[in-house]
Amino acid sequence: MRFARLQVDGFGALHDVSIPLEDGLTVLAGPNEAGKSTLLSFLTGVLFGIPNRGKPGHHPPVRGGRHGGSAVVIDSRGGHWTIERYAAPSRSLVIQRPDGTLGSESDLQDLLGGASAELFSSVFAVDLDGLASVRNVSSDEVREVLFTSAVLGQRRSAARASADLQVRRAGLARPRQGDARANKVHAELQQVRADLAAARKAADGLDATRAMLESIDSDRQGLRDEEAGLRSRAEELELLHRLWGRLGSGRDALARLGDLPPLNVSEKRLLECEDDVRAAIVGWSGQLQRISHKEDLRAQLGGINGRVRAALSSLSPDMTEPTALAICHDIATRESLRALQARRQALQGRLAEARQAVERATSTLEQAEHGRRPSSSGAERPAPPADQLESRWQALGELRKRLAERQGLAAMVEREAACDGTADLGAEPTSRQALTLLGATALLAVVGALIAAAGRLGPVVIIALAALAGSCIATAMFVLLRGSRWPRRQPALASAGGSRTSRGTGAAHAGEDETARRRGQLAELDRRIVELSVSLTLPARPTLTDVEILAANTELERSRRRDIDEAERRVTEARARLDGATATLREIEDELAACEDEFLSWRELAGLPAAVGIDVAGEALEIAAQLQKDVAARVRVTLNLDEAEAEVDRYRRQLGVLAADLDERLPSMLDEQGAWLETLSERLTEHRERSLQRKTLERTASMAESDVVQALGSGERSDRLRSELEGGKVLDWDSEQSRIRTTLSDLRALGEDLVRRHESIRHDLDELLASDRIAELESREASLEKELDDLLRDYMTLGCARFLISSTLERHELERQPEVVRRASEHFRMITSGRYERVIVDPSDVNRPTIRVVSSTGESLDSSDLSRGAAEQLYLSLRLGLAEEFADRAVALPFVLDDVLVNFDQERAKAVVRDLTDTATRHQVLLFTCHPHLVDVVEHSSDDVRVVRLERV
Amino acid sequence: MADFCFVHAADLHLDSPFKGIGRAAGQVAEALREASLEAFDKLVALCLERNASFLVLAGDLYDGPSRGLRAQLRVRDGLSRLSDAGVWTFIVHGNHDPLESGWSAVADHWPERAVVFPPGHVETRVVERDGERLAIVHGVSYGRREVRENLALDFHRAEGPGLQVGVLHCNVSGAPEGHAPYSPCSLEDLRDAGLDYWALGHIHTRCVLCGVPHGDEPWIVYPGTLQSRSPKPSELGSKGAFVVQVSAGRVADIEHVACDRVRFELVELDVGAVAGSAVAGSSVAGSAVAGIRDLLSGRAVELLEAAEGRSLVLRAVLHGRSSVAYVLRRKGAREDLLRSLREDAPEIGAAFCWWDDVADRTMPELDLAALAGGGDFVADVVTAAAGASSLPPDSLGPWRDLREAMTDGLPVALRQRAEQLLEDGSAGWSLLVTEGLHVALDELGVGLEEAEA
Repeated sequence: MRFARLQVDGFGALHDVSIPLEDGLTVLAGPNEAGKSTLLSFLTGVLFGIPNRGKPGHHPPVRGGRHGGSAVVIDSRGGHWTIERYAAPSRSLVIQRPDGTLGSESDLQDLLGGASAELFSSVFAVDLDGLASVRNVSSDEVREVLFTSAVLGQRRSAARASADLQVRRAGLARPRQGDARANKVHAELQQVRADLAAARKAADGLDATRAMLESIDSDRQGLRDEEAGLRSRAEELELLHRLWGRLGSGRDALARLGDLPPLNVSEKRLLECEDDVRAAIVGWSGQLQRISHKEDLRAQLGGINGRVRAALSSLSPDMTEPTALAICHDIATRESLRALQARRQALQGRLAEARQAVERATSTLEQAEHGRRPSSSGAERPAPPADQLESRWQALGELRKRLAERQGLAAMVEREAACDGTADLGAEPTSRQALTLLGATALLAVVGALIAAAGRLGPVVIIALAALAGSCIATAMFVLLRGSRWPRRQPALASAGGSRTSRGTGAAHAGEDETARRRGQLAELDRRIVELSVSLTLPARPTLTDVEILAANTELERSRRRDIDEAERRVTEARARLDGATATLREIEDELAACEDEFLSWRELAGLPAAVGIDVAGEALEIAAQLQKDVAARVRVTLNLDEAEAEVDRYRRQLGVLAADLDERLPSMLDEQGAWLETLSERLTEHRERSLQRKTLERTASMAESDVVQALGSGERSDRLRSELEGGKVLDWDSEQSRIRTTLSDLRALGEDLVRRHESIRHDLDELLASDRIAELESREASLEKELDDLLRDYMTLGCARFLISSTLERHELERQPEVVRRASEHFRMITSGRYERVIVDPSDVNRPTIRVVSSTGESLDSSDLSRGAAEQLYLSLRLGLAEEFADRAVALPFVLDDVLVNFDQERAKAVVRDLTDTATRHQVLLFTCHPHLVDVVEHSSDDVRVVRLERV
Repeated sequence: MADFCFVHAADLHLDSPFKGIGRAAGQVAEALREASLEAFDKLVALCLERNASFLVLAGDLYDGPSRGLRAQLRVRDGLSRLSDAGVWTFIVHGNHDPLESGWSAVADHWPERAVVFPPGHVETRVVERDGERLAIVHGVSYGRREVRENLALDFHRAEGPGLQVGVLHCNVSGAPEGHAPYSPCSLEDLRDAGLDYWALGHIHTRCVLCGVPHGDEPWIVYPGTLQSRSPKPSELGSKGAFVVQVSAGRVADIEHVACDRVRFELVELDVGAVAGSAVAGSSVAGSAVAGIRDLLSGRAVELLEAAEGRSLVLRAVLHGRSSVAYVLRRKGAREDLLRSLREDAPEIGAAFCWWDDVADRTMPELDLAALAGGGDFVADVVTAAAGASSLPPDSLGPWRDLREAMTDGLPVALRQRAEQLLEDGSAGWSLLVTEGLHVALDELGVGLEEAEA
């Protein structure tokens, strides 16, 4: 493969540069900054990729153009390939095959014989620095490509395969703890095992746990026992405290008992007779009361006898006590008497009333009869009968009415007559006459009334006269008033006449008929008035005055008639009343006599003496009743008196017996007996108290001892406590109690702690028995072991694979390396003009080979001992050998050398050029240099060389 | 003589962890933890349901003393229920629960009708019902874990009527291998004792070594574990106890009754048949993996339906040659398949199905012999792997560097564990080297061209 053209679009300082290249040796000469090194990087970049930004060989375009370019290469068969490559961001690669189709990167790999960028840079495209580095020729890439025939046909790198396997192994496990899978699984497994061990330990500790529980139970029981012992001791101390008080009280009682003298015989006898003495003392006040009562009874008896005698005498001088006791004064008797007395009293009241009624009736009769007699004023005409007076009064009424009608009718007729031209003056005198009559009548009525009043006539007459006078005056006033209005009526009448005249004569006939009819009525009235006047003995044509006078008289007669009739009625009534009263009086007198008879019968039945009247019969009964009560009371008092006397005697005898029992003398006098009893009482009290005190003290001492004995019980403990009690070390007891309290508190705390521990252990034990943690952990352990084993198998499988590859690779290196060294020896001998015959590579360390040279004299030198120029010639020879080996096995790639001849002397430079010219027959050789003398050397050393001049950019 | 039945169980390993199971979901992990205890409850219920006269437990009730508390209480409660129902329980302790370990939780609180045979000598108990002798039970417990003497020689037929039962935790020659040789004995030793039924324990695989109904030969029976505890072959399939029917003083029949609550099953799948046409790196390869997943899921449904309400723990083993092996070896591919299987895992009621793992033993369709004859780098790699895998790990000779390289870079503790894995039989070493070869070839891209072609 060789380059035919380089087309730089933009790469470093190069922009739009096109360089045609030919086979054989070509020198690209130019001054500094002509872009030779940049062109070398471009060449490598087009073939293997432009490095990323910041990496060596990146060379971004500084003069424009797209970052990259193309190269035209010719394969071993003469086909032209175009490789166009641009850097990021597009990072495009376009490969055009000789037939014009687009190829792939695989095609490019084939074209390059599988060489990588590292191989190309290490062997085929080197500058002076690279040439001096032996590392480049010992890299894995170089070794693999050069020494491993297998990979050449398989397109896979054995070293890379080995490295990949190592990477995969490292992902599975690492020597130290890391995040590799097997390491992690192993770590987890270790943790699970630790957990499992702990869980198993806990399980194995079941017996220990149970033993611990039992131990705690035992400890708790011990604590309980100790606590019970302390509590028992505390109770003992409490008991000692309590008994200590009791013991003290017993001892005190015994001491006080010694201070009290015992009772002597008489004192004991007195105490023995205490009940009798107490009874006598208690009965003494009763004795005194009985004596006093006896006196009272005697006094009562005397009073009763006196009242009995007085009652007997008050009932009757000869009344005896048996007779008096026979008087019956029961309720019925008393009620009968009370009824008789009430009836008698009522009859007497009625009798008095009846007598008064008779007297009042007599008096009323007399007054009525006196009122019926005529008045003493004189001969007064007897009043006509009442019906006659009534008919006259009615006739007078009708006459008044007729006269009034006639007067009105006549007045109308007169007015009609005057209108008709007839004089009606007669009416005016009539009115004057009537007025005159009315005045006279009124005057007469007034006078009459005055006379009546003076004559003490009845009020009716006076009223009638006064009324008559009033009516006359009123009538006169009416007439006067009409007269004063008369002149006003005349024009009216005249007007009416004028009006009537104006109506014509037709109406005149109707007025005449009306006037005639009224005249007829007037005649009829006159006739009736006459009839009435005749019946009333009045003139045929009476005036109103006549009528009123007659009416006044008639009214007087009617009044008188009514008075007479009233007097008659009253006499009749008074007589009837008198007769009734008289009859009533007689009935009452009869009843009163019957009542007296009944009383006599009652008195006899009651047993009262005859001298007792009805009025005092009640008192007699009361006296008799009281007498009877007194007699009964006298019996009772007598009995009581007897009993009192007997009681007094009995008590006196009791005292005598008591005195005898006490061997003492009973005082005879009552007062002395009292004093004696008081003395006995005092002595008894004193003896009793002393006796009681002694008994109390004895009981106290006895009970104290009994309590102590009972509280202490019996046995060894009792004896010990008794001893302690007798010792009485109370303060020691107190301090011991305090200590016990403190110890009990500590024991409680200890016990609670034990309980907590017990519960905790019990809880753990329950959890342990119910737990499936061991099973779970064992399952996890088994899973992890299986997973770990799988990983380890994978790891070992990969290790086996890697070993198979790497060991085969090493063996091939050892076997292939001599051919490369042989070629390098030839090149080095040619370059050094035979000074050095052989190159030797120590295969003991393929990674860091040791290179030695053998001179024509047989001297062996280490490469580090050569001069710089000779060493660079050695390394160039090695690369030429490697390139030829690569060409034999793959592809003859171009050789690109950047100023590698600068350190060579002219002779060696010429020798190198000659060697390169020979090499250029198999490889395209591109030699970059900035040294013109080297160009001259090349041109003079070889005829088959082309020089391309580069200008500074 | 009255007919009766008794129940024979052994190797309960109560409350013991499940070995070889990866991290399971919480519900699954809890179910697995409870499984052995629930299986014991089922055993108690079985005794009551069948009106058994007695129950014999032939050792290894517990897996170890430290994990016994919960299990001991569960046992005590269960046996109390049996005792209250008139059912006797005869217990011998085995190598996992020797009496020297204590068992303090229930040591002094056994129910009335529970008999724990002592260590050191064979003890005999008579079982009667209504005054009639039904059976004579002989038994001896392990006093310590390692009992190397032949305890079967101490058993002798007792005088008198009734079925004679020997209860022993032992390793009978001829039984499935893989168990520690505690109390080793032969079938002849057992026959010579003259008993009618040997209720044995220790072997976790159910097997009847001797006995036919109403025959003269004694019955020699391992009931296997009551509940599986790992994906090991001896733990696969149904687990439970034997119900022994006795008629006229002879064993008339024995019936195995499953008591397990969670069952382990292996689901093996030949991916060559599944993904013969699958191409790695393409969607076809993805469809091949999906096909594998569908087949595994379908198998899980079948197994769950056949499990009669039990839950399942399944482990898929993929084998065979196929290019899909490249896909399965890609980073995360196996985990993705496992995750997918778990997501699609069937459930029936409370019974679940948990995919524990997918073991990839598939091989690419490579001709290793041809590769070895290539004379290049790959040939050297293949030749080296073949040389290493053919040697036992303890005589590696020149490949000791390989063994060292396989474990280098590990912390000390992990290195020791890895060494143990390497020493886990020659199959472990060989398998690892073979797998390592395929990983190396995979990394080198060998076969990739063919796969991608």
